[in-house]
Amino acid sequence: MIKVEELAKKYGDVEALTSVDMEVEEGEIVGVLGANGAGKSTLVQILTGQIDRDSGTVDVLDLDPEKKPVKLRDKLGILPEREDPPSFLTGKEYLHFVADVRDEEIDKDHWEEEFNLEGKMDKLTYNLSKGERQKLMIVQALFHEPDLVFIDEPLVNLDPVIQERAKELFKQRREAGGTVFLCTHVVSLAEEICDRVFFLKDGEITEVIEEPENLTEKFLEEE
Amino acid sequence: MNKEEGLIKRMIKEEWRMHSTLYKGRSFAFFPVLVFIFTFAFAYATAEYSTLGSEPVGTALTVIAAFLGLGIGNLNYSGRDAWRNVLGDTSYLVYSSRTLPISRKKILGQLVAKELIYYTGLFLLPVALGGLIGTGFQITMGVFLMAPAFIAGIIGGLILAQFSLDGPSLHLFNFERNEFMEPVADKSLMDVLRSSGGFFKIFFSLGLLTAFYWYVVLYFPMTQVLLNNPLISYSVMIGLLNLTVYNWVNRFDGLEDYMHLPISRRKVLSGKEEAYMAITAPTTFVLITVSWWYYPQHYILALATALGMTLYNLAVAIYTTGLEPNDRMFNTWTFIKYMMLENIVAGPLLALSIIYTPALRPLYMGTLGFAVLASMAYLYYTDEERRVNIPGLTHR
Repeated sequence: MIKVEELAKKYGDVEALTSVDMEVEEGEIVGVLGANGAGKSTLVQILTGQIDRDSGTVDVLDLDPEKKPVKLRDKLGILPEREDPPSFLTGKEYLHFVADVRDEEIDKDHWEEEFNLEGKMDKLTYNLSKGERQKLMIVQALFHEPDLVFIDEPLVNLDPVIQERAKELFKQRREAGGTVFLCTHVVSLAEEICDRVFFLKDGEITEVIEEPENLTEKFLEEE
Repeated sequence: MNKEEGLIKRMIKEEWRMHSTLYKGRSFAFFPVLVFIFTFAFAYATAEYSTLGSEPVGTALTVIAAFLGLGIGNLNYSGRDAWRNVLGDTSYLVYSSRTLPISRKKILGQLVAKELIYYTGLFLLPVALGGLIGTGFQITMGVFLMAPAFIAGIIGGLILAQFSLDGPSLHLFNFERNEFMEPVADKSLMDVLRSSGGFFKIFFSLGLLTAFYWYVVLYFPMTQVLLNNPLISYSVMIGLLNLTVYNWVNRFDGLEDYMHLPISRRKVLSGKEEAYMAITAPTTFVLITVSWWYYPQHYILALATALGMTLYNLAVAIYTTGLEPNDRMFNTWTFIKYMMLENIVAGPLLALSIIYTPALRPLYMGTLGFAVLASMAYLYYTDEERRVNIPGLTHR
């Protein structure tokens, strides 16, 4: 599903990714765990065709993200790190907008109920709380049931009830045969829901944990 | 230094760094120099070679100061939005100040004060110096009046902004799926409509200028010597001024806001083009028609000119600034490039419109036709790959 070899990326003199190698199979939740600035967001942006790599090879769903970024993103769900949807649309309008771009239908009522967004969807998104905006972004990443979902720091602003709901949804994606690629620095989250975890440090995968347990200790050792 | 002074100073530093970092310092530092050179050239040419003499230059500078003040007063519009953190990095310090023990009213006051100091140095002083030196120091009264005009403009802008803030809800339209527009175009229209001031801010700026232009043309006989057909000259001007609309449709988002969706750069750009045309076409139609009502000559030609120039302006704005006109136009070299490209068409058209007679029609139509065809060719017949080097489209 995802195959990466010797991936490197620089921003000016700063090496964001030095040499990343990884493989991700169908039907698993994989976590990329790393401290702030480890290169997690850069990795997601390259794998989803948002930015170009400097070197290395990348294959996602049999496509090169650099050559076919739009075709690839059509098959993906992406939850970017920033939680803000566009400010001057209502929640409902934003979801219509995304559905329009994806040329898909959205069962708005279902998602309203799923994330306790009743009564909120007609408000302009800048009038929603951070958590509510985050919920909208989760919905836009999942509503079209993609085979592969990229999630960058998913639960930061959510209350515990919704955190559980979101985790449940990620697991449901896996049970349906989908793959979830999750970047986070929240060790407990990776430990709880990931099947495998990649440690990313200074732009390199330093370790692959096949059975994620006692990650806090390992994370501290790594750092 | 007290808390308020510290904040203003840091806001100025922030804005300067934002602009100078974006344009590698030296280039941005040339902006006031460029403003000085333009004003000097305008003042010198008017004083020495026109029948107007130097006095109107002084009036023009006073009016410019008033308009600048009006713009800053209207900052209350964007000030309100800045509080909602939709202006991105440009409002960073304002946004972070929410966590400081200082009232919203005070921070907005600081913001206005900052703009006042910043743009006085960046724009007002070079304009005053250019005008003074260009006319051989004959317009001291006009320059002297710049300060009160500037302050009056700010107050007027604030009052108008307050009217808008207290006015009825601007949520007149909703985003709906439709077959007629790109989703990005729809969204961009909603952004402009629902941001503080709504469409009023566009009508306001273009309408004020229209009123000023026709006031001068209709009540100052001197202009009759200069302009054979003011309606056509006006239509060229409106086409050029529509750049502000392109700025507005790009103000509230950037390419990175769409990159988690399956949408190409070309589609985002098409959406912005559509939104620009959706606003400018009816606005231009109304302004030309109203002007024709007062000056009933060459309506069709004026309308064609305004719409043609509006299209040409779009093509040049995209070529020089991509999806970031608000930031990139501050770059001196980008600005020069923009002006030069505009002048390839606007220069001859303005010259021809000034001396216009029916005998010049073929030449005039030829120039306008060239502008329209060149714009169409650039906007619609260049493929995505060839657009890679458009500023702001470097993300995939």
